[in-house]
Amino acid sequence: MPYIIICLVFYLFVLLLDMIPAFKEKSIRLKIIYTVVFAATLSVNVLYGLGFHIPSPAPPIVHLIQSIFS
Amino acid sequence: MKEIINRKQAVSVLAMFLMGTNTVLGAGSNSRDTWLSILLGALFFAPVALVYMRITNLYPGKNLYDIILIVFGKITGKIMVAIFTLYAIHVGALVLREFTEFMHIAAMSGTPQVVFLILMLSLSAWMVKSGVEILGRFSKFILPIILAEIAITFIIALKDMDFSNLMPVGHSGFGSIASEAYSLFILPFSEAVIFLTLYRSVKTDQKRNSILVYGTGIAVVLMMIVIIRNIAVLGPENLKLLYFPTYTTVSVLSLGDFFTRMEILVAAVYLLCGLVKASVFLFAVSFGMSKLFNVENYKSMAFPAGLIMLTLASIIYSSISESVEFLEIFRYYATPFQVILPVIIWLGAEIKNFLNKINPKTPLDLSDL
Repeated sequence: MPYIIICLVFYLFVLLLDMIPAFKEKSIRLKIIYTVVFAATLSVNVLYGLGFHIPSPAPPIVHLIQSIFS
Repeated sequence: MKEIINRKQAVSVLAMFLMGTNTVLGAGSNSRDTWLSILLGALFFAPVALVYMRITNLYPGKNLYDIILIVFGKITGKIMVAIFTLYAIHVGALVLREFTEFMHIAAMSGTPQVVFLILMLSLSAWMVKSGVEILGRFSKFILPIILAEIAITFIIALKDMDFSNLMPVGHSGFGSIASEAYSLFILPFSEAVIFLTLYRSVKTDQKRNSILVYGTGIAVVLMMIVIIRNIAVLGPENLKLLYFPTYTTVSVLSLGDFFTRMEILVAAVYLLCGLVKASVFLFAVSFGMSKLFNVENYKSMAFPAGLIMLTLASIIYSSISESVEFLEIFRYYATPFQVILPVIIWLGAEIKNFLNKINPKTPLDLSDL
């Protein structure tokens, strides 16, 4: 729970101090990218904070390298 | 406004970037011959550094992503830019996680690690939004402080050093030394490929080749001083048991009865180098994302890139032992990005340059890509 609260506070700061000023630019592309990244990373962080297992890219890379070089 | 850093600032950034984790983690396996491996690793890096220098000299005023797009065109170029960007995101997240692990384990174990991640990331994103000039000025100001810290702790450690811990030289055997040298060649020396993404900000009228030489040279010297001090004070057998050997080494040093527990200096240096290293990776990711998505101002990508790195840093591994497992295979994982792809880029750039000399065309407008 503390993880989620800390993340939400941080994301609120990012929203107010960076995302909203960035949206004042006319670039639609920037708005789409920022919104998608913001929503996706927030979702992942909330799920992680709730205890869901989020797969990391590290173990598959380790297994791949070990299978090639072992 | 074009952002410009001079040669000294670039050297400072590169030196702090390469020093990065080694200020606390030590180097390699922290064995008695690691100092030899550092020298050999730097020697392995020399031809790769020549490749990096040649790539930037063929296209002065351009960074690595610009060069990739010029050489390989829109589609293949963007695929390669995406590969480098993903690599920078991954390694940048590892760097962030390493530094925050240190803070969590060594200093504030009761504070959630995400707090350190957020603070470190916020500072790095602020650095990116401020521009490369701020990074250059910051690094140039901080590097002498780091040099002074390492020198002072080395001098204080002299009375506790037992140089017989470094003997016999070459005891580990050439195979082991060479293997460790290759690991050091990959991490940290060849990570300088990420620094090439900042090269368009380096003044083109100065001796740009010397940046890699002096930056790497400073990092090599400082790493050797640190590892020799650590081995001479604690001994190689004790160092291998520690996650943060430099931190522990400095913690046992004292000057008289009142000047003790100097490991706070190590922690401060580690954080400063860590901030520069994380900022350079964040710059690389921001540049890469702006190229991929055709966003004009890379600074707009600072926080989106940072959010991705923050999320990846949180989930990438669940314990420090998993990070050690990954570090053991890192030299194989990173070789394509740090050696093979730059060589391909260099060959492509030489061929394109040769063809342009035979059949001159109008300069490629990067805004078309």
